Amino acid sequence: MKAVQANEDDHPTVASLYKATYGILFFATPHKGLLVADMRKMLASQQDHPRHALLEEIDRTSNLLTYQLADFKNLIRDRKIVSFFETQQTRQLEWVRRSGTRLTSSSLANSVGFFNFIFRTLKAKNGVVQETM
Amino acid sequence: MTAVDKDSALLQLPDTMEEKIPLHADHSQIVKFDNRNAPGYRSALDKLRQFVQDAPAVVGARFCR
Repeated sequence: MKAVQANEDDHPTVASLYKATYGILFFATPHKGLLVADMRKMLASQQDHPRHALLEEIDRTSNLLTYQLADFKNLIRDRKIVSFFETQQTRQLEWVRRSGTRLTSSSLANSVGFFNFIFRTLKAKNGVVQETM
Repeated sequence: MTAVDKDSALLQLPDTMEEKIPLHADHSQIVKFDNRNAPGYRSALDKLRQFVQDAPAVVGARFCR
């Protein structure tokens, strides 16, 4: 998005990214948002948490995403798009307590290696959510 | 729950512009391939190989305009 909006004279490097893009692979990318109810539940006790605004933006009903998607479709043109989508249910977030230490077991927090480690451990235990560490 | 449903994950472009591939995985596992024979890995690799073959001519032409 940024690349195509960039002026070719002011930001030649960024603008050239758009021209150099031949295709894109999307892996379950939430173009119209995703379910954030479980994430929101975890912030419920902290009304002023800085992530509330982010959850609004990526929620399934987000207006921001609707506008952005329309803009994005207009700039694809002849670029090749491959969209992979999930067909299986994802485990919801929940707090796991042990020895007073709070852990988050999450199948959604796949951008953070630490949480991945915990989740892999959980999966290894026959899909039963157990306390780890 | 379905974290990112099909309607959100697809751009809903015509099939000639957007290839739509279902994967037997949840939102976490869809980007974690078990091995080189995993369907998602095979598909992604095939697409990337095709891109490598076809891209130079198309992208080159864009920069010559």
